[in-house]
Formats: sequence, structure tokens, C-alpha cells
Amino acid sequence: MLTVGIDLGTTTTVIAIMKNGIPQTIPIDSGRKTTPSVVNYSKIENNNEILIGRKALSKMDYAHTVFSIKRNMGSNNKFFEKSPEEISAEILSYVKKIAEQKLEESIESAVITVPAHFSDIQRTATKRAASLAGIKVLRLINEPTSAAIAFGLAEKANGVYAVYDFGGGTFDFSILRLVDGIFQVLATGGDNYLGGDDIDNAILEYNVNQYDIVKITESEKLRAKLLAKTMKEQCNLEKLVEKECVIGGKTYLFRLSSELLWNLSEKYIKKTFKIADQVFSDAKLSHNQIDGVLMVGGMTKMQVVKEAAKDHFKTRIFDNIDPEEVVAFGAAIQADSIVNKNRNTLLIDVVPLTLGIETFGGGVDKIIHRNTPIPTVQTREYTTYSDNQTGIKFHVVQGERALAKDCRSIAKFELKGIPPAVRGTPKVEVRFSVDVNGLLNVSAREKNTGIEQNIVVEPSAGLTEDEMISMLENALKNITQDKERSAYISAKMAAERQISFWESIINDIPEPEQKRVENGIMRLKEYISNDRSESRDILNTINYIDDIVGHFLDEIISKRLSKNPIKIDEVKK
Amino acid sequence: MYHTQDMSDKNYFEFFGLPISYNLDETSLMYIYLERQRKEHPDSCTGDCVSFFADNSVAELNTAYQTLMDPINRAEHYLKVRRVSILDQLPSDFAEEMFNMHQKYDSIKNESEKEKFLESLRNKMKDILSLLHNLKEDDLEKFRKYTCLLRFINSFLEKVELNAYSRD
Ligand SMILES: Nc1ncnc2c1ncn2[C@@H]1O[C@H](COP(=O)(O)OP(=O)(O)O)[C@@H](O)[C@H]1O
Repeated sequence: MLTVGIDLGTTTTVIAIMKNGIPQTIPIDSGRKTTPSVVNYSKIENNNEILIGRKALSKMDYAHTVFSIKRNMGSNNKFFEKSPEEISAEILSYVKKIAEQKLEESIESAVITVPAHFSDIQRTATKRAASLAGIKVLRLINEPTSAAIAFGLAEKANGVYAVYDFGGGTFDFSILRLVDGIFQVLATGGDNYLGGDDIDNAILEYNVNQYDIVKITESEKLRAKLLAKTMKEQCNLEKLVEKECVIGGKTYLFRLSSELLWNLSEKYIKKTFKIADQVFSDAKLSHNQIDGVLMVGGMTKMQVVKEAAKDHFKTRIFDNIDPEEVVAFGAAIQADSIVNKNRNTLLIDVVPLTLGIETFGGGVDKIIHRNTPIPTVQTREYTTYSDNQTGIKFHVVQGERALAKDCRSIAKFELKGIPPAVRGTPKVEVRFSVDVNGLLNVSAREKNTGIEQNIVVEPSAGLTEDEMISMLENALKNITQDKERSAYISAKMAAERQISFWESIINDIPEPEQKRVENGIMRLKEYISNDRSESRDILNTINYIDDIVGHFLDEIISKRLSKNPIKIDEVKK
Repeated sequence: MYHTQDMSDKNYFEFFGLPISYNLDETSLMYIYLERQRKEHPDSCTGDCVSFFADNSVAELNTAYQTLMDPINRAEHYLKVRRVSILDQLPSDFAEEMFNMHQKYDSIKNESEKEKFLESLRNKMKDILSLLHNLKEDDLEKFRKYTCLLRFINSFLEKVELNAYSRD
């Protein structure tokens, strides 16, 4: 029974195994190290055989071919009536089968890599794809971390390193500390929809516009995109690449010069640096405090990417490792280390995206912050907001935005059967735990009765790819607005609570302070009835009133208590 | 179903075998943490140690480490351990200055002046941090006040920095 590491990539899949302490790729497709992540479904012609990898590509039957399925992981989209999990399972079964033939032994389990920025739903979907393919998942690990493991082991490196992982469909950036075989991730960031595909599209679009081509069928487009990809790769070696492309029966000459390639890719490359710099700031480090940047992913073979990275990071760039194999190598090393309980290598990864619960006002109560080391457990206590309320609904979300509706919805559940009580008295403890695979488990418990709901997050997705893309794009743009919006909502809620309290005691406050409090409350009411007012004006006013009231509070409360002593029995009920 | 004990009651200084003092050596803490990871992590625990329990104990190890590595979280934890509640409102002698901070920042139009202002706040934080480091162990009232101030300035800076990041 063997255990392997698999890099299930957007454009290519690689499988590796440890042999005598050294990771090696298992050649699958006509003896090549990488297998294109491509599936062809034209069953009738193929005698019901599904074609995978280079065979699927060379069929050139683009109307029945699925590319870049990884981009759809965790969505409800279907292709030829198959789910993204099923299609990914097809690729996994294929590499497993061929590898077993080569190794003459069966494969039982694997460590599979995912982009560091994969959400919980995308991770769960990946795990499911593996079990459909009959592979037991030992662990899901993040791609940049995996690359660091392979690099660290080969170079016996100690220090702080960054991994710049630019692939076909995704970009990830992580900073890790390497100490004698321990790989501690300090911070990570990325974009699941930023990769070589975007540049291929830009090349295609540029040429289509040059010739004013308006009508282009889907399969012509796919073929042209593959051509654009080839041109992009060739342009690395040649100053000018020209290729013929047939669209609507006509032949066009597609062109790509190195200058044009830079112009078309600059925008995307800059975007990767922006993400990288946020990760530096999350890790509280500057460029000159790290020992180097590892270049990973096929896109880092591009000369322009390498040069731009040298310019930007102004530190040592490690580009001598094979960027396509290194991720699978790390997975193979990790698989071996888990199976053999090897204490010499240990991986401490982090939560890539903040996890939280939607609050009453539509905001997000952040429970596990991004870059928290895993495994992690955090708990929070909630209560009811109306009398005799017997159920509480929870909405679990993932993302960096301030409003729940702008984050990824992960799960919804309700804790029922809470004994009727005065609002605010039930104590519901919500427990979030993220395991070493980065998978979330949520449970809720009413503390007085012990009623409990446990949910394991399942890929329920329901979001289309387009929605996901715009969600990510908007995330950064709207931080400004969002923060203020959620600050406003919570300030407003605080104000409402305070006003009703102050109004209940205002008669006990002597003049002239009573008048001042009254005016203050009036001003506060104006602020909260106007959607455009700012949270800080509300908070300042609350503080202003609080200061005045504070002087009398003790006196008022003790006066009241002596009038109506609280009965212990009543509170208990 | 297992539930975590209330971790907030824990004393993380003791947890790492460190003296209860705000001044701690971060490098030693890092090494203690990593060595404990090597022993306790679910991947390296063998024999009787069930990975499920290892998960929970390593989760606590992670929380403890994160709390002590962050200077503000550490200050708040230190107060908790010394049984002093955290101030959730700014002390009145700072309130005015702090609330004016927002107005002052907004009234600056020039970008480089804005940056200068932020730099002065960052320096102020550094000053307060070194004050905290040099405070006598029993001067908890002051410790409490400075911690609250730090938290306040820090959230202001975080907000401004995020805004700047999302603008371009
Ligand atoms: N020699 C090369 N020059 C330029 N781009 C390349 C080269 N080799 C691969 N690429 C690009 O790298 C991307 C694939 O990277 P890879 O890391 O294999 O992606 P993934 O892991 O997402 O499948 C594709 O966009 C491909 O065109």
C-alpha cells in the first residue's frame, strides 16, 4: 500500500512519491512529469471511454472538453451533467491508475494540495473528489507551504522565506519561518481567480480586437485560447511570435511581441505584488527582513515575471527549483512524514480567510481571524434578543468584508429548543474549530440545558463562478466603506440600547445635568435616524452623555435597589 | 461531544513556563512554542495519543502563543492574569485628545502631512510600549490605562492603513 503526494492543478496535475528519502514525480502521460488537467467527454466516438490529459487535448474536440475545472470547485455548476468534484475525480483516478501500473503496487492514500486561499467549501469539494477516486486523503495542504517544504528539505534552509506561487488559475503568496524541519506559516494571501489564464485571455482579446472579429464560436474560442497560451510560453524565448488562427472559416495571423506581452500582463503582475505586500504587512515584516523568495508555479517561468519580482522584492530570488514539480514534492514529503509519524518535519499552517458569524445588524462577528495557526478552537457566547425566544439562527460566513452579505456563505443552522426565558438570559456557546486540513467544524450549545447542534460544513455553495469572482474583486475595494458601515451599525445599536437606559433614569438626574443629557439624547437620535451620519459622531455623543450620567449612576442604582431589591428566584427563572 | 474549557481563565505565562511579567523574550517564546509543537502536534504524536485530543491541545498552544506574541494582546492577558479588568472606555484624561485624533487626521489634506501624522502615532505607540515595559509590576492602574490607549490607537491605525490599501 503506497502513499503519494498529488498537486491537482488548474492546468496541470502532478503526482509524486518518496523513494529512499527523496521525492520523485511519477511520469503519467506519455512519460511526462505533468498531466494536463483536461477531460474529454465525447463518449460515443471514444467507445464510452473518457479521455484525460494529453489524449484529451490531442483529440481537439473542444466542444466536449473540460478545461480548468479547478476554477469551479465548490460551485454547483455542471459540465456535461457532471459536477466539478466528479470531473476532478476523473483526473485523480486516471493518475492513480497509471501510477499504480508503473509502481506495480496499489495507492491507498495521498496528501493533496490546494491553493492557500481555497475556502472551506472548495477544500471540502476537493476532499470529496479524492474519495470519489478511491483515494484516502491523509491531509489537504496549501500549495505554497508544500513548495516550501520541498525547498527547505532540499536546501536544508533555516530562516524566513516567502513563496510566490503563480499558476494557471490561482495566485498565492505565503511567508514562512523554517527552523530545523519545522515549517511555520506566518501569513498568507492570494486570489483564486488570478493566473496565467487571465493573460491568455488578454492575448486572445487583443488579437480578436485587432481584426475586428465579432463572431466566434465557443469551441473556436477554446482553441484560440490554447493558441494564445502556447504563444505566451514561446514568447519567453522569442521576441516575436506569429501563429495562424482559423475563425469562422477565415485565417488570421495572431501576433505577440515581448513588449506587447509585458503590456498585457503588467496589470496582473502588479496585482500579485499588491497581494504580496499585504502579506508582508500581516506578518509585520519588510522585504529586507526575509532571506529570499521562492518562485513556484508555471507562470514564474516567464522572464517578465521573474524580472518584475526581482525589482519589486529586492531580495534573493530562488528560481532554480522546477516550479511545476515542487508542489507535488512537498506533498509527497508530507505524506511520508504523516504515515511514518516522522518528527523531523512538521508543518504549522494558518487559516487563510477570516471565519465569522452574521450579527443581528448584518455585520460579521469575526471569530477566527485570518493567519491564525491551525488547528484552532475559538468559542463565543451569544444570547436571545427577545423574550421567550426558543431558537437562534446562525449564519457562518468566510471572508474579509465587514458585512455578512458580502462574505462567502458557508453554512446556516438553527439551535432549537432553548427553554423560554427573559431575553439575554440563555447562554449559547458557539464553538468554531479548524482542523489541520483547514476544514471547519461548528457547534453550538445552550449552556444551561446542554442542547447542542453540531455541523460539519458541507459544500453547499449555491454561488456561481461569476458571483464568486465579483465577491473577491469587491473585497478590497470596499474595505473603506465596509468598515465604516459596520462600525455605524454597531454604534447605532449601542446608541439605541443606551438611549432606552438613559430615558429610564433621566428623572433621577438633577438639573442642570438633566437638561444636558436630554439635549445629548436628542442629538444622538438625530444621528441614528440619519443613515449618512458617521459612527464616530455617535460614539462621541454616547461618551459625552455617559460621562455626565456616570457621576450619578451609583447613587441612582443604589437608590433604586433599596426601593425594589432583586429577588434571587426571579433572576433564576 | 467535547467542549473546550474556558481558555480565558488560563494563565499563558505559566502555560509556557515563563515568569508572569509583561517583559518576555520573544525569541525564547518562539523556540519553546516550536519545541512543544514538535512534541504535541497531531502529526507527530504516536501510540496512545489520539489525534483528536492532540488537535485540541495544540489549538490551545496556538492560542496561547498568539496571545503572548502580540504586544497588545499580551498586555490585556497580563492584566487578566493580574485580575484587573480591561478598560473598555478611554480614561477621561485621554478621551479628548483621542477623539480629536480622527478630526485632526481628516482635516489634513496633504498626503505627506497625513503620513507624518500617522508616523507620529506609530511613534507614540512605541513610546507607550516602552513605558509598559518599564512600568513597575504593581503599577497596574497605569498599565491598564496605557493598554487601553494602545488598543485605541492601534485600531485607528489599522483602519487608516486598510483604507489606504484599498484606495489604489
Ligand atoms: N515556459 C513557460 N513560459 C511561460 N509560461 C508558462 C511556461 N510554462 C508554463 N507556463 C504557464 O504557467 C501556467 C500553468 O502553471 P501551473 O503552475 O502548472 O498551474 P496550475 O498549478 O494552476 O495548474 C499556465 O498559464 C502556463 O501557460
